[in-house]
Amino acid sequence: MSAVKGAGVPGAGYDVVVVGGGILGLGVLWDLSLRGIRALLLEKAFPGAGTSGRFHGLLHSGGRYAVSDPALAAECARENRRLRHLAGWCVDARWGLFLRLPGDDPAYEAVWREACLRAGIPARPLPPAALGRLVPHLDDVRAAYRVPDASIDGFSLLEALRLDACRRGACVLLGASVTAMEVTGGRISGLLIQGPDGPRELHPKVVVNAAGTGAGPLAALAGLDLPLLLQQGTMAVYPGRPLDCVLNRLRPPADGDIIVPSASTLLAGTTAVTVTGREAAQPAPGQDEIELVRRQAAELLPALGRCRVLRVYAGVRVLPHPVTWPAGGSRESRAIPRDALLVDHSRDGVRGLITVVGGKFTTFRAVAEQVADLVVSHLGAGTRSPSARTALPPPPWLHHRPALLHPPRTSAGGWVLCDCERVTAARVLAAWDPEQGLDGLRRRVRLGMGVCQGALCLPRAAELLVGAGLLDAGTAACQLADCLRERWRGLAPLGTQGASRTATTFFHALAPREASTLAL
Amino acid sequence: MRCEVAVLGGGLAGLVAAARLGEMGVHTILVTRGSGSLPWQTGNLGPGEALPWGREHRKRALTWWLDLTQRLGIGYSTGRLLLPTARGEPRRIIVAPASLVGGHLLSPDPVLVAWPAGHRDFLAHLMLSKINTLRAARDLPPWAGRPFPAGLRGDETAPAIARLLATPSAGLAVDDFPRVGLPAVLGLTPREHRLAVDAWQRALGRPVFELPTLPPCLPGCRLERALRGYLRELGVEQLEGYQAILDPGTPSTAAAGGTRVEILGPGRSRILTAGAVVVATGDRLAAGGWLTSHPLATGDRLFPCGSSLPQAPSPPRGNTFAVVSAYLAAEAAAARVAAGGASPPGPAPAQSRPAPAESTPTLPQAIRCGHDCYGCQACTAVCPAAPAGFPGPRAVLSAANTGVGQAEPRTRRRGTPGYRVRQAELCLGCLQCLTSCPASSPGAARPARPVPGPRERLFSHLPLLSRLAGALPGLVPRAAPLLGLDGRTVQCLVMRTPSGRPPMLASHGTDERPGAAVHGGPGAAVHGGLGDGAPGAGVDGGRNDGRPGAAGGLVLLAGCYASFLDPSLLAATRALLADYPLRTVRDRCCGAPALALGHGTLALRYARSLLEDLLPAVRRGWQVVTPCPTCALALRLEYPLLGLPGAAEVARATIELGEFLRDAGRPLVPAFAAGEGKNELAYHQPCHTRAQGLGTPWVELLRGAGFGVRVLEQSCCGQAGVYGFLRSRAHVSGAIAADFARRVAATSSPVATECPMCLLRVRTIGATGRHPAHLLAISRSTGG
Repeated sequence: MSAVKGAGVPGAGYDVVVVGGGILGLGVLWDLSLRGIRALLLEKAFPGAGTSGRFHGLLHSGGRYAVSDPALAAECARENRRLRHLAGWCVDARWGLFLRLPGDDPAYEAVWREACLRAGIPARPLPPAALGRLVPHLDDVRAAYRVPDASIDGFSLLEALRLDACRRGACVLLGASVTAMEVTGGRISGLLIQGPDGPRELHPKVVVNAAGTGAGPLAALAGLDLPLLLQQGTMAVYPGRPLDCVLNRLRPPADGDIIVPSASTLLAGTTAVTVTGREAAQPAPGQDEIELVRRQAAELLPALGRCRVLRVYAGVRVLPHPVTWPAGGSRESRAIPRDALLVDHSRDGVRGLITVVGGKFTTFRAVAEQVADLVVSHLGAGTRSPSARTALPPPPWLHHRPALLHPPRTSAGGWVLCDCERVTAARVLAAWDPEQGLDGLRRRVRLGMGVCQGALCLPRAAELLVGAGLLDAGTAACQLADCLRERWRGLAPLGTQGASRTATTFFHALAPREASTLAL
Repeated sequence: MRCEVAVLGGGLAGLVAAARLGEMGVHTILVTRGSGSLPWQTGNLGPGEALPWGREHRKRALTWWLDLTQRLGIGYSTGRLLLPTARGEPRRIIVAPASLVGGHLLSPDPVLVAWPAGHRDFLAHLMLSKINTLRAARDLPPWAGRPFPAGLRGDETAPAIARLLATPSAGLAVDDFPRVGLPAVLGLTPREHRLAVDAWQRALGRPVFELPTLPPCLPGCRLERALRGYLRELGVEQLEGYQAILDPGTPSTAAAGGTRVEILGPGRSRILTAGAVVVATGDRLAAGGWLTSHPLATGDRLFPCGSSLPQAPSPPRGNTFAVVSAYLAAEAAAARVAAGGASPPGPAPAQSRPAPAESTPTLPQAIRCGHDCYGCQACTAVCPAAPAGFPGPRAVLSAANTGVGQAEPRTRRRGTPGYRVRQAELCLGCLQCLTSCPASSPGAARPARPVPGPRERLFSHLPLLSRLAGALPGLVPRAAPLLGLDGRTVQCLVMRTPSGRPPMLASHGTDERPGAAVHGGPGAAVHGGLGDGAPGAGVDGGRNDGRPGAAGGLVLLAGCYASFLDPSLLAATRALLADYPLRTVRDRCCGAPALALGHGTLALRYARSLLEDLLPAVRRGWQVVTPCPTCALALRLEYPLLGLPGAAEVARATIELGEFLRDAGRPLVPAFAAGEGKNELAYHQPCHTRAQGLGTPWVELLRGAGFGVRVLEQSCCGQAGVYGFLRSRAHVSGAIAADFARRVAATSSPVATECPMCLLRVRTIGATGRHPAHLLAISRSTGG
């Protein structure tokens, strides 16, 4: 457990340092730990603080890219099957639909079917009657195909990777960022990091740069120029979950054509707006993007047109910049290749630095395997990755899931603390990690992600932890204020218009004073 | 419908404006979509809000407010106070309820904060930490905290804890602390609050005060209840639970002497014409940009107040602002009505300037809002079953996770958040949650249907059971204990009804003379007879039946009560509708009991069969009238939700009897001279009338007929169909009924109510209960 918490990290002893606690960084860490290579992961905030925690939670079947990128589609299909098998506990809604609506090009349908067949994606046409039975809320659908799309609990998967890697000897250091990188003789010789307990020097043999939006600045520390394209995608969260399947539009990938159920909510997205590095540090959805997502979501699922938006958020895709594309690539933003960019900087004269950015969440394991292969070749130890055959155990607090349905009243803490997501006090206590604080509870048990957006459950959880002696009251108040402010960030763009008015007032009654002075 | 002033919005500003208007004797109707912000806050009035009115206006309004709250029994007092919020944040307050004033953070003496262990909504540790930091900075002695065992599990609702804390805990040692602070769950109503506070102070021997909890915040709920009760006393009618669309007042309607307000009730909308409208809908209107083009200064008939005022300080707007602006808006509106065509002389805000209208946004967009739960807990605060162990509509709803729009609760195969919470079956189906829900879509506040057990399945067959009981009179008393019926309440089934026969036995009154039933009323004279069709005959014709294609006819849906239990009601109803072409549908169940008990398939069967009967007539332009509010609710609200073909058409055509008679606008002949002793009545508004947003049409009718009507405090009778008969629900039903009985017992006059189940309950507790249709029929026969 001490390894999990990152306590007592030795300054040396790790041959590999992975920078960035997103899905790629943790995936690489896990893959390395499976091969018996001890690695250290540095994350400046918390696992999933970047894009991996701000995506739509869709486990692609590959259907979306079947036409535009057949290789990626085939890989998605493969990895989708694998992940269901190896970490089935993180898969929520287990199937999906591709729907062709009246406005969509009918010619694309045939092309798409053909492409799916080639990529090995099982796309089964659904007759209207069966469709009506499965998803009663749809309006006018011209064609429907059932595919193995799924929604995935990303935060739990990240935590599971972290826990399993740490169990196998890896180490994760949260709140640590790289401040300097020393390159001597054409290879990485040292890292200066700012850890939670002060600056520290590390001397790894290999550094994996999986810092997402921060990958460019990190490469710059080694004197390298890594041109990246940052693209913001906005998502809207709707309360309630009237469907159990993912909805896709059967048309060339465009803005706002995915709806994904996630626990007790629906997510609709996304958009693609190019942003600067500064904006990417704290992505904020634009009004026109929100409007676009809402409009498109209502086209796909008409019921959403009458429904308020619970919150909005944006994530940033990291894509290889046009200058690094293979020649002849289209410049249209949706046509940028979506598979991961893997660079061994030996080619730029810095041995021991590997950068990996981009890629789909779905294919993280395959990408991580490639990265780890490269790391292993640098270290000179040639083991093959067992990650394709190794089951990933769920994090322990997920075992409390049955309590969702019928909380055991007799046992201590069996009472429901969060009415929106049906989280019991026992689950909160089991998921409590002082290192990640109250915000960690949100990621681990979805506290504050429901209808009340944390206005009720977060104070209750803070009180519970203080009462149990796990947190002191002053820290609890600070963390609570931080959490509520973060929740407020997702509510503020919705303004006081229409339905969110109540949520607004609600927050004024409960949230910190700053909330009222935030942009409205 | 018409009134002098319509008040839109049920927050603090709306209630204050309506109260002031009611006091001034203006005929006022309050239209609310649901609870305002009161269930989220303590109802404290803060200083420092920029009020655009002069000091004297503010003083006048606040003096009135202090006086009003004294009269309502929740006396507010003034002072320069620093009171904590639920999280311990200090807030400056100038006017606060007496129970909260003791929480002044800068008082010199130490205080003991005591709370029931396991109360999840009272943030004792966080609050004490913040408070003591503040007090330490000012060299004041810290407050101490001490939980006391109360047997709480953890997720009890605030009303349930309020009930628990009505009796003081014996195990609380208070040492020598001069004051004791308790969570603000001491009583849900002003009366309960007084009793609870007295009990605690007697038990502890020192003053106690309240500290706020997370929502629902009972001091705010208390204030809302008190104000709504006051409105009832003043005779202000309240249309609850549905959104209203305001017609800004085209020249034609203005010339016709009123502003039109469309209330989107279930099934169809209703039009309210008002001489002036006080708009207190918060920033919903302001956000749409619409009100800025209709400020007070234009001198039209709209009087915004509270956060609806375009000149209001940016959010959050405080309670002081709400009270003062509402008070002034009410006076301005009253003056406008009194002046007729003249512009209002009331004090207009100094800064009021007509903002240039940039565009003309459509009203519905401005005022309509979303469909889903906000998590505000207003429903839990009003749920009658919540104090007795029901986890609250919100808990059940979130478990059911019905989600978007008006989707019916579905059974998900497996996986994440579940569908039932324990004790979901304790839901009464009274739909008070619906009327209190600020989102107020039928899909939003609707708790999930329980899964029926064998008893529930049996009781879903209400018509069959009634028929059986009629055929075998001895069966009911003997079978009751075997069936798990509550022995006490089942008594009412064999009690005698006004028709002179035990209700169950009167189920097939083939020899029943309706004339006798209505005491020689005109029903018999006009309609001849009930039609002695064989049991189960679906439709029997009235005298004017058989005019196919005739528009404007009525289908009278008798409902189970009038069909089986009390045929005299049917006769009385027919007498009241004597002037219309009439067809009667009797011996048909609307399916509401089956639906409430969770027997969905049977409910669907009943509903389909009834729709089959009604649809042809409805398509010919006939209206469906029913004396039973539950039947009306089922047709208007439930059937469209069930997605049955033709349900929307029937819903549009369905009208409750009282509503029909009032809207028909026929002059009523007063039966009694005013002041005659025997014509005093107490009126109980059934939950299902309330849930349709109907207001109290019967009160108007009865008053028009010369009865002196006092409206009883809003409460649920606890009977709720067959709910009250089931032994498994007896503890909840009994607890609710006890409260109801107290209210009924407090009045010596007979109780009039249009809901058969409420009538049964009234009779069970030994009072006289009459359906208003009976009373009207009698008054017509004696006075007309």
